[in-house]
Amino acid sequence: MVKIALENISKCFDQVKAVDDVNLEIRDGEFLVLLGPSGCGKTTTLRILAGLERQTSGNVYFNERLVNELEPRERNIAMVFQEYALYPHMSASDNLTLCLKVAKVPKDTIDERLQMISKMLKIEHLLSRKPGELSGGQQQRVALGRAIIREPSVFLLDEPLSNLDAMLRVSMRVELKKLQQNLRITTIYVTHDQTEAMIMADRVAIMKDGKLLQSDAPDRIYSRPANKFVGEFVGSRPMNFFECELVDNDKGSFLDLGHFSTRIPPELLRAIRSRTLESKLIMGIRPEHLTIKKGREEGSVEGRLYLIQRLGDVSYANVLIGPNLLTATVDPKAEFRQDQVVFVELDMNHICLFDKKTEDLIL
Amino acid sequence: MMSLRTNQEIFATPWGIPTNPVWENYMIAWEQGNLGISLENSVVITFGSIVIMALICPMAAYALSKPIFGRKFLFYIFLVGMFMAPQVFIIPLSMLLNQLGLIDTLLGLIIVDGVGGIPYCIIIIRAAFLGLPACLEDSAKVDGLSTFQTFRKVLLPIVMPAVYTALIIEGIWVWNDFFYPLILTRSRGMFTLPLGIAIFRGGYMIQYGPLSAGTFIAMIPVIILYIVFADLIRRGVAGAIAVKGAART
Repeated sequence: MVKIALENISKCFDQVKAVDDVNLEIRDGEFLVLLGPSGCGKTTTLRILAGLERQTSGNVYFNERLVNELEPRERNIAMVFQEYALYPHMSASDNLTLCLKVAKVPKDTIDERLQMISKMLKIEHLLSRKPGELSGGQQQRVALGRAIIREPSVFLLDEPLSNLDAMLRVSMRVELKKLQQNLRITTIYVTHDQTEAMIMADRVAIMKDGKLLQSDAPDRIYSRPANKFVGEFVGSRPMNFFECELVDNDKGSFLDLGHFSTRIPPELLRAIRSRTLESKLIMGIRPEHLTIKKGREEGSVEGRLYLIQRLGDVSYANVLIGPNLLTATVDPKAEFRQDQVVFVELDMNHICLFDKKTEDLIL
Repeated sequence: MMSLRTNQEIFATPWGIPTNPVWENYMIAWEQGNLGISLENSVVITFGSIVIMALICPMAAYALSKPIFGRKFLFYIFLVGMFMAPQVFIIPLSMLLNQLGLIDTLLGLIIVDGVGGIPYCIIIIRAAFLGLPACLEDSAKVDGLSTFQTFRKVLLPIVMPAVYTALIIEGIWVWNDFFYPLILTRSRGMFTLPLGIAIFRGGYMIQYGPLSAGTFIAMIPVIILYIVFADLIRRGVAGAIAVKGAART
């Protein structure tokens, strides 16, 4: 088991800064997901951890031991690649055991571990086949087996499920998570799929343009995104954002959202003022914290139903309020029709406020 | 057919079937052309030069497929080597071999033919290495393989079809080569098959019967090799496709 620390890690490819001053600690036995859009530097960070890429500056520590100069084989890590990287000329069994043979592990031990792993991953019947004769899911299992068989202290997984079809991906997520929980091996998992990250991670680290934006538990990332981008990126539907202005006069305190304004309680105003003196803000609210009603109620805002997205178990309503198109979760059984006038209630207890200039979370 | 006919018969009916097969043409070709020795020389030279190419080219091609300093420059030097006609450098080459005591020796011809085939082999094999996904090498590194183990156990077996292609094409070229043996050998004992057969093509007369018989004898080993290695050759020629398939998995 290994605790990992990345200290001021930067990586430049010519003029491009792929990773920019990343500081991150990964706890012993933790399942950390590096999440971000394509080209955000998450795979480069993983490769730096593996020792496949040398950072331009900064340090990598495994259990407080500096490993900058260590080759991948000296770091006792195992990695699963996006394309699985199985050796096409070798059978599944040879793919699984090559690392042990190279390490000159006794044959009995190799056979024992091969049996155990192939049983665990249910690939006993595939051992004599070559990768070209295996399906995507089977190849993925062999790649996982190859990682597990050497009993590493760290698992590095680079989008291992992205080549699988949707159904298989869902079942493999569960299997992978259970496997990690059983083995309790420190795992770093790279993905651009936020659903995958939310389901599997103990902690999610979100990256953009080489920078680490936030690392926190999935529910914290979801409810308190560190900035506007995180709010947009995480969640099956992005957070709704409104540019607004904080108005505090003798009539009370309001958030003026242009086409409507909403009263805020004094304690919220105090909390905002304790963090910023700026009046121009961005308000963010998740779809499930908006309620759509057919009739007007106090504090609700009038809008026009633009589109209903029915997904079976849940439905989303796109509502136009002035120039803003927002998304709200609605009861799938509720009967709404397109272009209908509806009234939207905002749950002010669950709003996020961001600085308009920096887009960082204020409250 | 011509190998079983006399000159007169051939001139009378060039496309005719031998009415009275002249098997002596084979005896003449074998004995006067000294084809036994020539065949042995051709086999030794072809095999020797293929061994040189097989040892050097995959490793050199692998190195040239890596982002090492001066890679392009080195690669262009190999390209120049491929495009240079032997006639341009045959005199200095002959003098060099003479000084090294390698003129009129099988070793001299093996070195010249082997080294001469290196640029072409490197170009073909390097292209195959470049077509492999980088994650294979990364995976081998993580598995604990050294650079040489990665090359030998992981990458080389995958690019073997390209290696076969290059070696087969170069082997055929060396087998048929006339120019280098003509210039770099002096004694009949060092002649290769193409040279041995050529003695039936005199200044004033061509003995078509023995010449054709010699040509047929020269073809026999190639035909046998083709039958034995047909599968390998087919995979070799289809090398690029095979390597691509490997890269996908």
